[in-house]
Amino acid sequence: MRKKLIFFLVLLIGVAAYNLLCAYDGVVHMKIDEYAAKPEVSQLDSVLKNQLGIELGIETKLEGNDAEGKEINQKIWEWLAYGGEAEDYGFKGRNDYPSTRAFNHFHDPLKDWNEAGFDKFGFNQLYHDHYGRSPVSSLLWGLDPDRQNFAQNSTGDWSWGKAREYYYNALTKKSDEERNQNFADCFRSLGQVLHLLQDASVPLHTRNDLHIFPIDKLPDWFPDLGRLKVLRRWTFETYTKKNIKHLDYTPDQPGDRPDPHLLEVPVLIQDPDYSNMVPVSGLFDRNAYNDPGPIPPSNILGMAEYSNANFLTLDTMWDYPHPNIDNDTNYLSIDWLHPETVVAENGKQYNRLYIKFKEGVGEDIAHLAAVDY
Amino acid sequence: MKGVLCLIILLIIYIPITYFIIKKGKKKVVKIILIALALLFSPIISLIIWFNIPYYYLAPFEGKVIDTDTRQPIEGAAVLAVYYKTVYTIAGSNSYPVDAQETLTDKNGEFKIPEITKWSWGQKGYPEGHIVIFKPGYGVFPDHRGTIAVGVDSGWWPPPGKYTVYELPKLKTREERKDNLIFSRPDIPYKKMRNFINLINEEYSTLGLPGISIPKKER
Repeated sequence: MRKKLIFFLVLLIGVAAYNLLCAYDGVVHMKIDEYAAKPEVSQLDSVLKNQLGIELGIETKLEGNDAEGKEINQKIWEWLAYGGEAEDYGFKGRNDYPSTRAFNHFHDPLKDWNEAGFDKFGFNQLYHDHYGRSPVSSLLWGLDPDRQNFAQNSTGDWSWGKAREYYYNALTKKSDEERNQNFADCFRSLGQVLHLLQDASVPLHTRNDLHIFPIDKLPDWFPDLGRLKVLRRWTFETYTKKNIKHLDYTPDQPGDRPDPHLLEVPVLIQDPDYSNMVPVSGLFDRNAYNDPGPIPPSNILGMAEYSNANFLTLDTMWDYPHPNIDNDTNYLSIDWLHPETVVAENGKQYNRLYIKFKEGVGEDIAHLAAVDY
Repeated sequence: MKGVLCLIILLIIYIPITYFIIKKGKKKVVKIILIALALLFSPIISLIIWFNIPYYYLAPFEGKVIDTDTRQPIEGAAVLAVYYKTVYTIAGSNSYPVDAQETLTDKNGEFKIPEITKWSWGQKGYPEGHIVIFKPGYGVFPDHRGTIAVGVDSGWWPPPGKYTVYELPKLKTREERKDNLIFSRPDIPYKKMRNFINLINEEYSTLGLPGISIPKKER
């Protein structure tokens, strides 16, 4: 009991004062899942209609229970979006502060999968004290059977394997009620696994970066305390939330859709402990990017490998093999006398110098990092 | 208002602590260290108080809704102001709708949603307001890519309090209209968005699709 109290006390302090990581906001996860269900970008609607004979496709309504046990009746695409949000839920559903599922939302593609999860500041020990196990990599949390299936996990098992089980039940159970509930749970599970894949696109999640969260709603009277000014800074999360309407959700450009080869040959170098992993693991990590080694072409990489190799985070600047400031970027040949003029969020113009990848190295990113002085 | 409350609570916490330290402390060094520690932690305490005061402000919105092509006002569009609170969790931030206000545009396409300040026990966070506009047959704001809030940076939500013109494009095909309906409704009681849901269900009905279910107790 005492350990539990300490665990939640530490979490509460962490939550109140700063945040551990910058994932997408729940509303952004929902929005990405909504778009993932749209007939213009996904085959889900046509599979439901043509292969399963579900006449209304993603518009079909299913009755099921939400995280708080409340009965809800919503459409298939809404269940998928709900899963996108629910993966971050705490013990009592939404709006519950100690959402410890997020400890399992990290995957460092340069490590063995057993070691690839969140690993910082003794927080793992706190998690271990409470759950009797360490947090695992998001790939294993989502795809390795039974990783979420343990007694202390009161938020439930919403993994890929569980989605398949619900799917099987939805097709074979005798009553409409059972079939509907299983279909609803299947799409919620799928939405929760999609959440994990979306997190793998956030470099903070793939570079093991425990990061102070920008409390962008700090009251105006709150003093700027030197380095604590970082509390007000923008991150990828703030950006995506503020720009939720204008994010590019549509896979209409070359390279937007994953190469089918990623699913046909999901892993290039097999981790012996996980030789039976489901093919969708290739969307997360194919073990195609290794240390030592160059940054491979993006089209052969899983999402976690891509975000780890091609992007920086504030607290892992140049700590990982790539991007490497000397070998991968234009840092040594920057034209210091001719900065770029940019318009910042406050509307003012600034002269900034930017670091970018050398020609032919990594992703074509004009502003990999800004030079500070 | 919230700042004043925060300051008062902070003083209520710190005055007895300071009194206790001065009264009971034996050594001057210990007193100084304890007071210094108390001051050091005051920003953290302030933040905890700030985010937990159950008092919030629902921002006003006003403006006009017009057809993108004809420039004519759109009458009877449902304008829903949804107020989200952002909760900072271990999982990053999560925004949840906590309240809403709605209205319909008049014959000039104009609308006004008043500002409200209210106490709300048990709800933490700092609500920020967003506008959603729906009229059957038109692209929904802000989800439809063809909608525009004139004079607002395309990346931002329209600011509260500023008269804003919203342009909605007329949808031409059934598929466009179906696709337009794929956006999650805020999870707030039906009574707070009756017009909004009724118009959406009207559109579903026109398209021959099942509408949004309204729980019996909320009808």
